[in-house]
Amino acid sequence: MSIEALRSALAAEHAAIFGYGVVGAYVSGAARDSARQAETAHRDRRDQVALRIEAAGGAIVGAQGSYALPFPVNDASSAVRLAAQLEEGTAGAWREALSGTTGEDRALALDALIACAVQATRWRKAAGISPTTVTFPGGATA
Amino acid sequence: MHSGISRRVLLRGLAAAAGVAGVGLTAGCDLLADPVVNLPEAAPELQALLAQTVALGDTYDATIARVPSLAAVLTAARDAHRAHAQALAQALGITVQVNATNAGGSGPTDPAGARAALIDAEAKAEAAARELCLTASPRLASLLGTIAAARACHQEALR
Repeated sequence: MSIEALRSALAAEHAAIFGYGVVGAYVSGAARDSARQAETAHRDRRDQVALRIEAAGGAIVGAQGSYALPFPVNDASSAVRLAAQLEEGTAGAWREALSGTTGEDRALALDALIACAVQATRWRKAAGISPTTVTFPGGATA
Repeated sequence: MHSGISRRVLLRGLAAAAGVAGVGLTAGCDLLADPVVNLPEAAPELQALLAQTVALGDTYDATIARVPSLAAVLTAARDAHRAHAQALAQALGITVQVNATNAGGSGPTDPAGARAALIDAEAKAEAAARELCLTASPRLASLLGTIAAARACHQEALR
């Protein structure tokens, strides 16, 4: 169960890294720096969770060649909105992983959920989206 | 692993906490018909988290009363804490009735001080939810994790 939960989260991290490639093409200045830092965080988490899966004897989920974007991205404003959505999406994957993990894997999932949710809040602030927070980060609770 | 806990006893404990926090609690419709129910082992800790969550919502209400200029910033977090309290109560099998409190109470009256006080309260609350999440049952881990994340987000929003 734990490996499957982590594999889903790994797939979400791959998608977020792809998405940040798009975001980075449209933003500049401080937003570009923020995007780079956020992408690095996702790459680090991707590597960390891949190692966990490998150590547990599981098969690594590879990245897809491309991913469908949730809406057209053609300027800085839409790129920042995409960044917020990427973070909320990965937060959702890690939130789902919580119920299928224990111990160190649970801690990894929780830290990732919190980090992604906070980064989503930062992007909403940058985009002037109000409110900047959501009631249940990572999706509606069961 | 479950322990049999009298729902009436549980409700009395919650009602005591709610009295401090300014909320009313009512039992589910089958209280008298089924006075003993099975609750997760972590129920006492969940009760404490529920009381803390209700108190956080009250703290936001009091802050909004003292510093009305922050109302637009604080309302979403206040509402989130109310929703979290409802979700936690549902996990405990009880009903929470939240009565908005408008009393300002004591605390900072300047926006910067009020923000700092709320960030401090949210950080402590995040740590409490995080700790419970790490050892929670699969059924509760998701809820406790998203509550911890929401509290971290509130800190970011207040900065």
